[in-house]
Amino acid sequence: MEKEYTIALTGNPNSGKSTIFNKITGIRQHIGNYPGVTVEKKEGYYTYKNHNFRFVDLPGIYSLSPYSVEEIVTRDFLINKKPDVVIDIVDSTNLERNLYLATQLIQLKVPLVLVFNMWDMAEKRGFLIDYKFLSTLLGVPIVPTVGIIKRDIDTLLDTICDVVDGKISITPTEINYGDEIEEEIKKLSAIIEKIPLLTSRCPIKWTAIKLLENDVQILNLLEQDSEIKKLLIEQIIKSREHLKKIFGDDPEIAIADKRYGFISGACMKSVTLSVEYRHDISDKIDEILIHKLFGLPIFFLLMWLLFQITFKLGQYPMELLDLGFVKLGAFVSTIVSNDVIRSLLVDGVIGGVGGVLIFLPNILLLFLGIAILEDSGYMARAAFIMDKIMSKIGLQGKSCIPMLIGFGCNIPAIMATRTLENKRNRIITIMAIPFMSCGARLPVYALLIGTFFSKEIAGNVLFSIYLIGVLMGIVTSILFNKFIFKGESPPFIMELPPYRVPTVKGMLIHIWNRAWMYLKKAGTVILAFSVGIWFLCTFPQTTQYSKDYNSLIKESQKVNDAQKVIYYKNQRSLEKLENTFAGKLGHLMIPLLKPIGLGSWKIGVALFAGFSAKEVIVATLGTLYSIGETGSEKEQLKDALQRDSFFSPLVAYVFMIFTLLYIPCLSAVAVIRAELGGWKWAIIAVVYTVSIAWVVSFLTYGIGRLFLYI
Amino acid sequence: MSKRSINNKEQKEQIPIVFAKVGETVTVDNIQSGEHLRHRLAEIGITQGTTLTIIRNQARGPIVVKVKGSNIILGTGMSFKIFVHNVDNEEQ
Repeated sequence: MEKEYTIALTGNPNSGKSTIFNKITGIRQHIGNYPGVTVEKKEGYYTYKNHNFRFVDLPGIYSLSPYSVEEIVTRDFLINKKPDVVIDIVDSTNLERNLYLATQLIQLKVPLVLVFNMWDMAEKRGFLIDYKFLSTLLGVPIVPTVGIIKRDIDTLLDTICDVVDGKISITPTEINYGDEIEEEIKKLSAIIEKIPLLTSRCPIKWTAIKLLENDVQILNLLEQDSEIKKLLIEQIIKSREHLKKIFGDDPEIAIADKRYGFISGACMKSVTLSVEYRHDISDKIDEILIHKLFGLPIFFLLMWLLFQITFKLGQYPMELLDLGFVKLGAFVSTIVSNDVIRSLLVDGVIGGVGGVLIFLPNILLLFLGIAILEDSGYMARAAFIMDKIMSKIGLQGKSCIPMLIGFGCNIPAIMATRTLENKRNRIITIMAIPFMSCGARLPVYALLIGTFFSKEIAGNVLFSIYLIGVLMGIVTSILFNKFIFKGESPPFIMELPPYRVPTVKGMLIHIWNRAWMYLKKAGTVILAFSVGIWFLCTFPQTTQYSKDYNSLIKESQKVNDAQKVIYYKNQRSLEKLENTFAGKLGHLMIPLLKPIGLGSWKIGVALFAGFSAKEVIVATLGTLYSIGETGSEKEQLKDALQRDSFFSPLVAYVFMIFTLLYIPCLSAVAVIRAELGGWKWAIIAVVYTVSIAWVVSFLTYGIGRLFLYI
Repeated sequence: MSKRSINNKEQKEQIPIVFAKVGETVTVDNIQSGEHLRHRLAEIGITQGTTLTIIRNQARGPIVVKVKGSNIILGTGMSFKIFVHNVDNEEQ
């Protein structure tokens, strides 16, 4: 087996990093998560001139501080995995900002190669960059590229080969922080030198600077209460105090200033501006897209388009898929004679696989839309436009998009939170999304409103349900901000990238990865769950019925009484269902459901079955009321519900509220687990939504009764 | 000389960046916030003495400033914590 070299790709967001990664590895990519965090881990393989390379696309970052998960992940990867070459992709049109990260990589003394990407753009803007001179100043090789040109990529690959073959030696330059800071660095270094655990990890000066910056994560490695640790901490405090006095500000700010100072010094010597570039197209577009008055309507128009594309266009393939699975089920039914196996295959497996695939058209289309919004640069504008409104409930502008998607379907909405950089915001947004009433809940409302409310108020009733959902989303955000994630919410600072035309290849890879992740991570869990629910709704099987249905049905068939046949058949299914685990669970749930006015085992079973998907509630009610669910039978179900003295408009309303608020469906739970990397948040989501559903239903029922019986 | 010192006095008038107008170029005087935010801003290139241009200013909402060659969104709330003075005055 030949040696495999690990090449890490780092760089600022919007530096064209992903374009280069995609260009090199194509679809030979592997996507996973870094252990324990929600940051995406992208890897790809490529063999070039007999060298086997493993490329790791690290998240886009501005610095190696410990403030965001992305920064920590990148730092840990560079320090612990010691990649053979580290590529830092730099946007040549914006050297000053992009080189900030480079100064830290230089200091970390990793085998660094700088890629000056978007070289053509820089030239167009009149920048003359003497990259060879800059390369000697920084002590690292620089490769100018245009990310989509193959010849440039080959030059980059040649350079990487030369580095791993030892043909190019990299000697990163030392950055001087000025006498005062250097003095303190020396004092700290003297102590660090004596700790092998730290010296073997990364360069001594790097460690010293990080400690001066109050970036003390590394101290956790040291033994608690050891003499040397105490000594080190003492020195850190002393040095920081000393520097604070000199600079009148925290040392980390002085250090950041020095880094920028070093960069502007280096740039001054190597970059000249030939013509002043004045016409920035992006600024012109922004004058309209983030205009004070037009910005918001344009945003909502684009969201409306995204919604239409995702759900209206997605409807056709979904219907086809649905029909396909129904046909497949019918076909399997005819060839399998054993009742249990047939039911397992048709209701459990085919139903489960269908339940997984049915969402795929939505997911593909939504992510096509999101990829366009993101790659073009509009997403950052949307974040800006919505920031003021969303900040009122403790979230940031970007959270708005997944929440709106939630009204179509919660699954892609939860997946769309990937565009949120900050984990705290992501979790809160995911917790609020289930309260956005998705399309699958509509059949339940349609049935109950149609049965118990007059046409005149139907619209208002429906609107009030949606409104309660939105209110609970807001309450959730406030609750989680106040009690779960205490302290100030993280500051929202973000670059407004220049507009760009998205590449087809980039989008296809994006969509393909998303679909694959969904099938692999969520699909398996969804399938397992639906087989589980099928089991609970099927076993134990009834052998003894209260009546001899078989002969009753036969008798009715003889006299051609079709209605009676259906009646007995349904009566039999009802009895069968009542005896299963699900039926028993329904009975067990009565004490819990009684206080909220839903104390009927039938509702218990319907709610339990609705866990697999909310529209299943309607089908289950059909079975429970001994009526099919299709065509004119829907009218029969309405009649049956109306005849049931248990139901009243108030009970129906509470039933709708509970349906709205309790955990959307098992697919959503599976996706939450996949997105937040573990069962913990998935379980919290289930417990939280069910509790909220109960509390709100309880209040509604109580207040409703008060009004009815006064 | 004396006139200039008066001007100096005027320009030292510090206002939160939220009151700066679109198109104005301002210099940061101080940032009244926690260490964390100050460091984040420093890393993006905004510290005391930094000159920046206001690109967008949504009343009491987020703002966009041009600094070190790129447009940066500063989220809602931050615009009350960054104090600046107008540079245009200085040139007059």
